[in-house]
Amino acid sequence: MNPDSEAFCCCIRKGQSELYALSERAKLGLLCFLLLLMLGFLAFTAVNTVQAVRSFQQQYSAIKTGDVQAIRPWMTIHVISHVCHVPEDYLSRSLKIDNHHATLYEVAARKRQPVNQLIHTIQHAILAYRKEHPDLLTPTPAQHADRRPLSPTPGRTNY
Amino acid sequence: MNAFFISALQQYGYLALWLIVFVAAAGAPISGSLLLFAAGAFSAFGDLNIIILFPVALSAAVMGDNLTYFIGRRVGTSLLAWLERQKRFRWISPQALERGRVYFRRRAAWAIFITRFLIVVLGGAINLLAGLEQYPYRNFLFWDVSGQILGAIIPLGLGYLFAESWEEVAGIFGAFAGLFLVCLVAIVLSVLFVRKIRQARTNETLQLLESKAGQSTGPLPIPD
Repeated sequence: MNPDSEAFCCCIRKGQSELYALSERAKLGLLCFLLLLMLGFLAFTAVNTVQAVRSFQQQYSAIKTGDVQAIRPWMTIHVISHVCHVPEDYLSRSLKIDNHHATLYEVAARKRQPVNQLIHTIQHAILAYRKEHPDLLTPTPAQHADRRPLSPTPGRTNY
Repeated sequence: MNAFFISALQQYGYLALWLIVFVAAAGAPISGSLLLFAAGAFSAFGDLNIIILFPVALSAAVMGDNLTYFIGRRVGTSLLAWLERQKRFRWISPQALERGRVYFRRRAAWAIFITRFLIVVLGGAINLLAGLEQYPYRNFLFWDVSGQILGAIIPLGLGYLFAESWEEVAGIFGAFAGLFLVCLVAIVLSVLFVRKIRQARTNETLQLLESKAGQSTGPLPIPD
C-alpha cells in the first residue's frame, strides 16, 4: 500500500474513534442531564405527596369534629347535613334550594354566584343553627366540650 | 371540568358514570378515576349503589380500552406503514424503532396491567401501541380486565371508605402514582447511566491495552 494512503486511512480511523468517543460522551452527558431532571421531579413529587397527605389529615380532622371548614364544592345538601349534623330541611330552607342532590357547584351556577360565596353562606347558616340549638350540636371541640360522639364514618350517620 | 362531571354524576347517575369512564379509558384527557372516587363517596351517602357501580365502571373502562386497541390495530398499522413509506421517520432510525418494538413486546403485559390502575395517564397510549404492534387480543383482554378490576376497586373502595374526604384521598393517590412513575424513570435512567460508565471504562481499558500492545510489537532491534 502507498504510504500516503496508509497515513490517510490511519487518520480516518483516528477521526472515527474520536467521533465515537465524542458521541459516547454526548450520550453520557444527556443521560446525566435527564437523571438530574428526574431527581428534580422526584423532589417535586415527594413534596407534592407530603402536601397531599397533610391536606387529607386536615380535612379528616375537620370532618371528625364537624367543622364547617370541611364543606367542599362537590358536596350536596344531603352530604352537608351528614357532615355538619344539621337537618337537610333547615339548610334547604335557608339557602332556598329544592334539590337536595344538587352539588354546590350546580347550585352556585344556578344562582349565578361564586361557589365560595355560597359555601360562606352555608357556613354562616350552620353556625346560626348551632347557636340556636346548643344542645343538639357537634361543632369543633374547642367551641363545645360536651359534643356528641360521631360514628367512625360520619357520612353514614342517620340524622 | 371535574365540577361538571361530578354534577353530571349526581344528576344522571350510572349512565353518566359509564359514559365518562368509557371516554376516559378511550384516551380522552379526562380523569376517570377521580370520578370513581366521587362515585364511591356518593354510594357511601346512599345516592348510588356500590354493588352496581363496580360492573358499570369495569364494563365502561374495558370497552373504552378495547376501542383504542382496535383503533390502533385497524388504523394505526396502516398509518405507520404509510408514514414509513413517506420516510417521515428519518429522525428515528429503523433500528431504534425495531428495538423499541421488541422492548414493548417483551414488557407489554406488565405495561397494560400497570397502566389500568396506577399510571392511568399512559393507558390510552399503551392501548394504541398494543393494537399497533398487533399484540394478541386474548392476552390484551386478560391483562386489561385484570388491571381494570383493580382500577375500579381501588378508587371506588377508597371513595366509599373516606367518603367525606374522597377529594383529598384522590389527591394522595394521584401524588403517589406520580411519585411511582418518576421513581421508575429515575431507576431506569440510573441503570443506563451506570451501564454507560462501565462501558466507557471497559473501552478505555481496551484502548490502553491495545496501545501498549502496539508499542511492545514495534520494530525489533537488529542484532549485530
